[in-house]
Amino acid sequence: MATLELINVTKRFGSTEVVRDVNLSIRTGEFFVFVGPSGCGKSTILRMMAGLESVSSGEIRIDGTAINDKPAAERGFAMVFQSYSLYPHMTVRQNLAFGLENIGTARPEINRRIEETARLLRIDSYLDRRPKALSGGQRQRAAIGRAVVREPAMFLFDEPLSNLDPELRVAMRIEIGTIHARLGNTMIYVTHDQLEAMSMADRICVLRDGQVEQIGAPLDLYNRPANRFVAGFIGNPRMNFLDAKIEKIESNGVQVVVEGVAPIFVLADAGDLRPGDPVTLGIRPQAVEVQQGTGLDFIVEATEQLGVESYIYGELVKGSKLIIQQRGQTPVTRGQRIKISLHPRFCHLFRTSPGEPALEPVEQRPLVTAAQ
Amino acid sequence: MAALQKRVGRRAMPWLFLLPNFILFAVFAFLPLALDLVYALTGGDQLSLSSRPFIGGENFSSLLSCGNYLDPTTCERDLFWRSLFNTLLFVVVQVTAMVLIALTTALILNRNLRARGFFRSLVFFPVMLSPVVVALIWKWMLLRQGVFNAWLENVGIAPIDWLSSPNWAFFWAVLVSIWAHVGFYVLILLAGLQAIPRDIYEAADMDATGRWRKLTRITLPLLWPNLLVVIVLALIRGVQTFDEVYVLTGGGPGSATKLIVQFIYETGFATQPRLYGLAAAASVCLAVLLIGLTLAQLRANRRPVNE
Amino acid sequence: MNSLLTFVSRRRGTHGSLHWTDWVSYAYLCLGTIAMLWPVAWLVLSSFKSEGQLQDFPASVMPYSQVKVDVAGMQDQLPLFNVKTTDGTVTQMVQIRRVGITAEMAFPNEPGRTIEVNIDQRQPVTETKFAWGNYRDLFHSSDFVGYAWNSIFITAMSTIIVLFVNSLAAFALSKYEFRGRSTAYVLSIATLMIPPTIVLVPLFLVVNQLGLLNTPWGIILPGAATPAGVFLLRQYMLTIPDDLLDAARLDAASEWKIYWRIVLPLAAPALAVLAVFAIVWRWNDFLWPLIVLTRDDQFTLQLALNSYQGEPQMQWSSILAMTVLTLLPIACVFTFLQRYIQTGIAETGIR
Repeated sequence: MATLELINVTKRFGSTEVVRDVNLSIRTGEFFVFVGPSGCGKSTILRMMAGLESVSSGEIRIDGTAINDKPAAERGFAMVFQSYSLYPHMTVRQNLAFGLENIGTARPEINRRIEETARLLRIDSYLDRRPKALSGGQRQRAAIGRAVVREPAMFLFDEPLSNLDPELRVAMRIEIGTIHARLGNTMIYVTHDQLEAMSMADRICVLRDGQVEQIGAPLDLYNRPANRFVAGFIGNPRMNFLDAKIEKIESNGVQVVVEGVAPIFVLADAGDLRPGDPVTLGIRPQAVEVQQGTGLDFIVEATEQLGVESYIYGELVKGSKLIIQQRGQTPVTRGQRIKISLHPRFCHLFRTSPGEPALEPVEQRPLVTAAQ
Repeated sequence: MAALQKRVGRRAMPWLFLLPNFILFAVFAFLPLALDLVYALTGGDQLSLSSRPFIGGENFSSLLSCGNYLDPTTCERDLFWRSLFNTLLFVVVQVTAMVLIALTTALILNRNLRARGFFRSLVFFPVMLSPVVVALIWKWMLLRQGVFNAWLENVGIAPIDWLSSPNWAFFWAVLVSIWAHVGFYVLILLAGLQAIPRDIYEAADMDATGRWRKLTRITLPLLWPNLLVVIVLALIRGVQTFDEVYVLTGGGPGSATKLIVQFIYETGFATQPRLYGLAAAASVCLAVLLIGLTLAQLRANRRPVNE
Repeated sequence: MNSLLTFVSRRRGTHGSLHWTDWVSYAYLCLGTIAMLWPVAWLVLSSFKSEGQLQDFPASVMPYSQVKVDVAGMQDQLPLFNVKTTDGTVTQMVQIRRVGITAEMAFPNEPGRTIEVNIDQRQPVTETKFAWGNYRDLFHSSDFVGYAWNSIFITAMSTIIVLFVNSLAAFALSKYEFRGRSTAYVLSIATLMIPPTIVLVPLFLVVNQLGLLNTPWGIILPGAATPAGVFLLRQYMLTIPDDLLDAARLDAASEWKIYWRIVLPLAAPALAVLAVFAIVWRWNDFLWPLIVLTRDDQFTLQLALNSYQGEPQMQWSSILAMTVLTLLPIACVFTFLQRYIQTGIAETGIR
């Protein structure tokens, strides 16, 4: 099988760089997800891997050999497109057979593989229908089938679930996971949905403006975001960010103050920062506890009661908005003043601009981050 | 083909795909266009370029020199002037009448009427007919013992030799070409009318706008870009009219309905000696006219809708 | 339902009844119907009349023939006449034989008793009958079959080549990024500005040099690369998603295969429109064939019609029938495909 490496890969369209100096390596059998907001270059990277887009500079290597100039057809990858891109004038069976016919596979072998794939994806009952006659989910399965039937060295998925309704999306997520487990092939997956990334990936690469922000296992990204951007991107609801100032640096952490609020202690290494330096305090909505008696003052502005959990929107002090996520049902009302406490383990400190590296949490060093 | 792609590379494939088309364009459009000038600047009755002497602008001066420009008989090539004059008159009358008819018809067909589709197809049908067929259909009705004269006789009027009288022949040439082409313009105008959003009219209704005001203040201004395209297209086509008029009247009686393309055809291909140079020079004159009109069309196309 | 009614009547103007403008519109359309339909109807009706009937003035609307009846004791059927008898009544009699200005007539049921009648006193009894003979004669004439074959060959060949060559070019212009693409596109659209009418002489030279004079190819090739066709197909192909082509590339399809197996089938609606145009263009073509085809065994139907109608001793009966046959394929195309044609024209402004 194959290890895929990107060495200093850059892509320019005219004078704009859409992918800048990307370095990474994807291991055999891995489920690797590129995630990032739209326009971050994730699809371009995938298309360069596929051979649909040329590489402006740098190298894409398989097992150490550069494949920059290899045509898409000879790379042995299969791709599932966002719009499915099933050939609308062919039946599902013909769609599956097309690629195999192109490489001169013998008829009996084609038939055998189609049968096998159809069984795996449970599309046997509509093999002889045109894509138009299929539902969204069925089309998606057929599109995956077209990739599976080729028995490729690697699967490339370009936002394959974004055209499905939310329920189906969850089902297909699990299904793709199952297929990955069954086939064991390397799968490279592009999405803008961090939930998809978190739930499916072995490793995630977060991209912004064509650059790698962080690569790591899903929980690494959640627990130890390399910077404020990653912290804000991974996790739902978003991490809260408050402006703060370093008050005191201790051996096992840093004490910061948000204006008008009691000091907060965070388990982080201040690095080169000094007391008095401005920082951004990141608080996961789950890190906040509503409690009786003592704590920080919080004014409720709105609540969303979802039954199994509740979201509380409000202000810590004037201008410091916060979202709080609580398990179960929290009986608070608009305008109510409540007390909250913060869990230091789920608080993070960042240098003030979003791209700059985070302050490392103390207890969990050494970190695995982008700079491998 | 796959082997070919291996040989030339994927990047060269689009050029390969363009090649047949461009060879045809080059040989049958661009090359002749260039040669047009060569012919126009050479004399003699030989087709082969090597045996044609260079005579400079003599063809043009022969075409364009007149004693008195208002009187074709004083021109060196009076037929050219006659056909040019006929063409201009033909185009002015035909285009004006045709655009008016097309506009009226399109406005009516855009109304909420029964059997609209049927009427639309009906008015469009002659557009598909060949000019020769169109001419013969009408020639058959315009014969001395034809159906028109039978009607006249019914109401007590003596039969008329429609195609032997210069004025009547010209009239019928115009009418027949309108009959044959009007449907095309109706279709374009109708498409333009249907592109006007319905809610504009609903807004106008809310403002208690009268019918006439709706037509003049909403419909026509919004349709103007399409109308402009139609006018220019009709002009471009009108200037090149040949087939139906040639079969209907043969350019006659005399040269009453001889148009510019017929002059080119007859000068270059139907009379001895074949004056290729003169025909090409007349073609160049026609080309200048057409290029002007085409540029006008491109301009009309680019015109913003909300004007 | 009630609100729907008021909505419709509001669109119509006054409530319920038709506005006067509706009446004017219908009147206009009825006149238009007659103006558009009558000439063609008259042609078709006339084409079924015998040469003799075509000389009638004023002509009858429907083609007719004289009624003939069986008469006992007679081998042939005899023509039936309305005869005005001396007492002023009109009766139907058959003509046994005619001598000069008198005819020997009899009642059909008693052929033995004959009466002499002046031929001014009788009118033939007629019935509507279509004379298929005009058409039969055409199909028996080798000339007509030859012209029809030339027209069909030129039209079919030309359509195939137009579709192939133009779709290849449109494919390249719509689905590839390459240096010089917009130049190539502008160049091919620019040929719209070179109608054949302005390059007749040099085009004649080119066709002559290529040895194509008096061959169908002299018509087919110059008309094969149509800017309108490239434009129409390119516009349509732009709507085919690029992902589909990428999917095919990953499926190891060559560029040619992508064209042939993916793009061409998907562009079928646009190809159909262009095919109709191409058929109509070539079938109706006149001026250029008039110049290139001078030998009458190479004539197309259009040229044959033109040359027949110019002959002094022309037979209108065969010209009319031939005109109808020339019109027929186009009428069929129109009837079955008019929807495509009309939307095609409305969307592109091409004819």
